[in-house]
Amino acid sequence: MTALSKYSAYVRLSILTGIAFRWQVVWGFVTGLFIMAFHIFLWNSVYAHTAEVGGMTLNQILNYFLLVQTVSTVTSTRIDREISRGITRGEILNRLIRPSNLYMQSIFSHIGSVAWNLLLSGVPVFILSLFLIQVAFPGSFLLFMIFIYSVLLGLLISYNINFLAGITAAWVRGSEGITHAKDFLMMVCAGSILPLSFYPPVLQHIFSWMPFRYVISVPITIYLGKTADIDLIRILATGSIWLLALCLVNVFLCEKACRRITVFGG
Amino acid sequence: MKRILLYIRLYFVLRSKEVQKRLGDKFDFVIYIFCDAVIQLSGVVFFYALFTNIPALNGWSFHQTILLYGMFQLSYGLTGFLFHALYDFGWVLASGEFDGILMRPLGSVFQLLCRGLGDIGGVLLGGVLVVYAAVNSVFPVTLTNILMIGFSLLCSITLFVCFYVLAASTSFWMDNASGSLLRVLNLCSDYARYPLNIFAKAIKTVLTWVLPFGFIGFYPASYLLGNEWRYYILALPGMVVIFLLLAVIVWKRGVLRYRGSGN
Repeated sequence: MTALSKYSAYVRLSILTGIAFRWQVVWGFVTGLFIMAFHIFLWNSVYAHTAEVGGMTLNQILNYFLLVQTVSTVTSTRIDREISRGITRGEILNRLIRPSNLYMQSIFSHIGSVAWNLLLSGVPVFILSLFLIQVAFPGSFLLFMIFIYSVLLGLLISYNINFLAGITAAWVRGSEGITHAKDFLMMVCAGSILPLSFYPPVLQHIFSWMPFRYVISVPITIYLGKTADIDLIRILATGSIWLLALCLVNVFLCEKACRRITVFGG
Repeated sequence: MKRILLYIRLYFVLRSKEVQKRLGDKFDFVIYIFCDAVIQLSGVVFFYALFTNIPALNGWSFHQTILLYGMFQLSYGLTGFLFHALYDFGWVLASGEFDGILMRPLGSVFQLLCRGLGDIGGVLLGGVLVVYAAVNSVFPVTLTNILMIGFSLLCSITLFVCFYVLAASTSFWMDNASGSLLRVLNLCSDYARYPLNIFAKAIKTVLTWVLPFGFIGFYPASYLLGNEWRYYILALPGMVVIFLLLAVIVWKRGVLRYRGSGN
């Protein structure tokens, strides 16, 4: 119980930080609308002469990109930069002297900022899009609950991938490079710049073996009802295994890194 | 005249010092350049995957789109490489470093332009893409065209610098406004990486005459391709002059308002 109240303080703290930088969130919202408008123009041009591209209709693809926006307000995080910067500049010391684990601290402050982002940027963009496109809703309540579960899975997997990229700064000097490479993989393999069905089959096969697709593509295909029932269980199970594996690696590396880090004057 | 020569010499000296500083850790530097290029590659991946599914985008083929994207990326990359510091000007003001800049007997914009070093990856990628388009004979490689590429790059970089100076100078009036304006500029530049004729007329007009991002990738590429928008390039020098004047005036007024950061 004390542990819970200890960590809920981090959630509260990150929500307060969010309130202090509320213009950031407003900008997130404006950016979201610009991006939605961009997709409407782009895909209307693409679909000018065809009814179906990459196995999706115009309306499906617009819904896809609307959901990319909504889901990524939940799953995107800057924890990688926070940690790698903290390690290279030594600011991480302030977090290490706190009476709680670095890994757990970060995850709870992440949850606070996610709630804030979703409420002020994700949901408004979604609601305004109701006027712009024909928004699709999941087929059943059960499917919606499975979607929520898959988003939570995506949130945690994304958090762990980013944490992993950040913590490498304890060993590698060029951690900025690793962050960029990870961003690239996140954009391409998770399906945030294009639905995975647009890629050549070989790439699709490779992507299906990576953990990135659980962050964007998996929740959205579940929401749009494009995943068969039998696949659902298999995909969610594999995702959970990925999460467990990443978790274990991170907890282990976090421990190692904390021993390794040497900060000037510390 | 002597003063201009001094500025040019100083620019190169300060730039090479910046490169030397970064080369202090060679491995780190190489990784940084490489990964910078990789992250910008995602745009190419997008076009590649998109065009495996469709033959053309409003009359633009894959290679033509790559030329447009490459031209834009090259100008963007060169701007970032040469004039990185304009990007975080809000911070330069807030931290009080601007006081130090005003103390020195050199132009304030000039000193800002000499700081930092970024986006070599973008330059590499943009260059490769334009060469790729040329090799695939998307446009005839004549002397005129090569000169035209050089000229439009020069103009594009100047336009970018003007945009950034304008955005940065709003920091003199409003705290943190430059950050928001930079976001607007970034959004516009996201639009301008695509053929402008896919957007609504209003957006196309804005990106041509109000925030002329179209002159950075779309119109130069159209000139090289010789399509229906090729004559717009004639307006490019005029746009550059207008924005240069605007940037200089706004900046000068801003500096007059500046009262230091209070330490």
